[in-house]
Amino acid sequence: MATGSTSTNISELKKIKLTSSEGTEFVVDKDVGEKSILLKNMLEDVGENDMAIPLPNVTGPILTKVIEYCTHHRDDFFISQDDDNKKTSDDIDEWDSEFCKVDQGTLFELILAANYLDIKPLLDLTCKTVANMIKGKSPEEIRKTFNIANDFTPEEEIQVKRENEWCEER
Amino acid sequence: MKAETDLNILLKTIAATELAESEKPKSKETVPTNESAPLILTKPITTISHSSSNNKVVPQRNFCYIHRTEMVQKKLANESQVDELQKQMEQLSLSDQEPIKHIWSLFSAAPAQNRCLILQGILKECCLPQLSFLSNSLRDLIRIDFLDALPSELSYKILSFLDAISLCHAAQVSKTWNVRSVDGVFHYWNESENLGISGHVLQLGIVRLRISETKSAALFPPLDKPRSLTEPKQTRPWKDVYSERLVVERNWRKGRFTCRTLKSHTDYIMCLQFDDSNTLITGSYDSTVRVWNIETGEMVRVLSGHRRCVRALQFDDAKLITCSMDRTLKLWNYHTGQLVRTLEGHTSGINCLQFDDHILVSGSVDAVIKVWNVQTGECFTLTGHCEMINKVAIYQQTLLFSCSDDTTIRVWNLKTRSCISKLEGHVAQVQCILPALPSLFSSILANTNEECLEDWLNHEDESDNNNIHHHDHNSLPILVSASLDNTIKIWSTKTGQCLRTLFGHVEGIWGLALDKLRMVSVAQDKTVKVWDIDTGKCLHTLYGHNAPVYCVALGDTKIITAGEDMEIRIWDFGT
Repeated sequence: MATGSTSTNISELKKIKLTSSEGTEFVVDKDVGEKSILLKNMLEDVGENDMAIPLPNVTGPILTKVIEYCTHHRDDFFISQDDDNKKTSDDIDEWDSEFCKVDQGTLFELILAANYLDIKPLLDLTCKTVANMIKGKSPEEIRKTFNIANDFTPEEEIQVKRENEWCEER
Repeated sequence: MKAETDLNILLKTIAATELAESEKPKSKETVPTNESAPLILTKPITTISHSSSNNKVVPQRNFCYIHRTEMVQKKLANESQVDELQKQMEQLSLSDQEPIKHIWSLFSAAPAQNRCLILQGILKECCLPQLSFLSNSLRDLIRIDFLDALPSELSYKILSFLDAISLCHAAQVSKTWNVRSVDGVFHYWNESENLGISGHVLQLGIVRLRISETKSAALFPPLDKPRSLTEPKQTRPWKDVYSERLVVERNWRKGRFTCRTLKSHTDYIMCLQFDDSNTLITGSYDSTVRVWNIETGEMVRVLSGHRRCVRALQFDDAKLITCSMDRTLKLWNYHTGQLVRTLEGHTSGINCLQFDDHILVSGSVDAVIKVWNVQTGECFTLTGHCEMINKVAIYQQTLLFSCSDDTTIRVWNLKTRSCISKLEGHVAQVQCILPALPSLFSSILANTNEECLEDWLNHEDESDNNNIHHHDHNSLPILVSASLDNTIKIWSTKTGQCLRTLFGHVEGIWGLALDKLRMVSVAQDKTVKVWDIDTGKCLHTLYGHNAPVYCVALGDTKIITAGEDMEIRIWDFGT
């Protein structure tokens, strides 16, 4: 039988299996997987089990990215920051900002995956990244960045402009 | 036109295939979902049961971003691209068109993984020009309208990281963006704080704060403001409050103001105070106290009773206390004009006073400080200064600061009733002192911090029971003082060290006022100066008084000053 010390080692190295939407199986360390509150809660509910957890809403490439993020931050203590703290998108560290240098499609799916898997730091990071893409841009530049059609009528556009013109430096 | 219908059919087929695919029952082995993430995510638990119960799967809306039905319509509306493709098809012979259509339909019918394989194969066959073509096309295709495509709570989350100006730009992007950015949660704390809107969640298009609470720039919120709990809470959209504050803040920064004068006093004006409800009270050498309505400029009443110059005053919602060269302090109901009580005890003229809850402190010409307990009537004396006391400031009901003609500032412990330190550095009479939060002046103090810390460590072993160091260090304020030596000094009350000296006035400074955003000083040189609280730089010098200026009060949108020319000037930076 395993002694006390080895048993803690074993539990540290415990792996869990995840299946992406294509059916590809991913094996990750339990502590990495548990960065996802969804998975953590599921594992607690289901208990010891060798079955792979299906994630039909997450594709392989996105799951790979998510695992990369969770692995990098495996030793971080994710503080459950409440929303009444200061909200700023200027506090992204180098690794994280490098991590988010992806196309908009990937970023979009990362947001959905982080939300679904309930990984708040990743959701914050990805949302901040989008916020930074909006910041400091004129309405036209924002439209260009995200390929958005201006669906205001000329009258509406004048009206909206008037409502918001106080923010322009005078 | 045949080609057009074909193309539309094709595009519709693609969309339809997506739909059909998502409705297709899931096979046992693989879970065929689209490459792209679905918009509505279901809990995995339920999905597990889906994959096992084959035929009765509730259809999920597994559209990808590009092929959502509404997006397909938008794309179709994009005539130029469609026309272009159509023209190119028309140029081909029917026999050439067939295989192309065939490839397309094969591709659209393929499940996600197979599509990737098909693409990989095609990519392998691509030459550089085709890869360039792909790279260019992708750059446009992969752009996503995040706010429209994401569930609204995630859109709000993104918007919550934006500052107000970016939100205003976002509101002008499209109809969806407009709705989202107006409804969104606004919590750009830092920025709101810089505008004096602090500590409130500006939420869901509604600012949940009372109007009076927007004026929260005051350094220490008044402790004894009896507020009726039944007072209705007025709410305004965050944009209203914010834009108003932004405009005011710009006026301050750029020195844009209007100026009014109020006249009535018949001698020098020595003291004044005003509050949020438009009440201004002034005290003068003409021995009267006058109550004004700031908004109308009307003098509401004259409080007569003092026999000599009124040197200082303080009021709250209920009461007014004044002190005079006639050696008395008087308590008034300024709403009625009734003199409630006269406090006697000083043996010479009283120069200054301050009350905080039940503690009242007064300082006199003969260098005596008296501390009154208004509830019990008890009174004790603090002595140590050797000349006239010019100003007293109570800090958190436990510490007292005083400044004097003897050029020093003293710190007193109100519990032990003793002087715990003396700040020396001014070379002339110190006229005014104000405790301030250490977070102010952050920029100018940044480079002095280390010295300060060192000094503080050196001081530590010298400390005795009576020392200021026994106070909670974090609660110790920065002290700002103004003197007739033309300087303003910033002190660390932890170490007693002068951290910084601000120059600007050319003749002695009589008065100071500050809040979290700025500091204002008035001086013998007839000017009023507005200082940046962060950097300590003088931002504006206001000219207008024709004689030395003795007193100043600072509000959210205005400065009120008065002095030897007997005129009250209201410098209004509001809209």
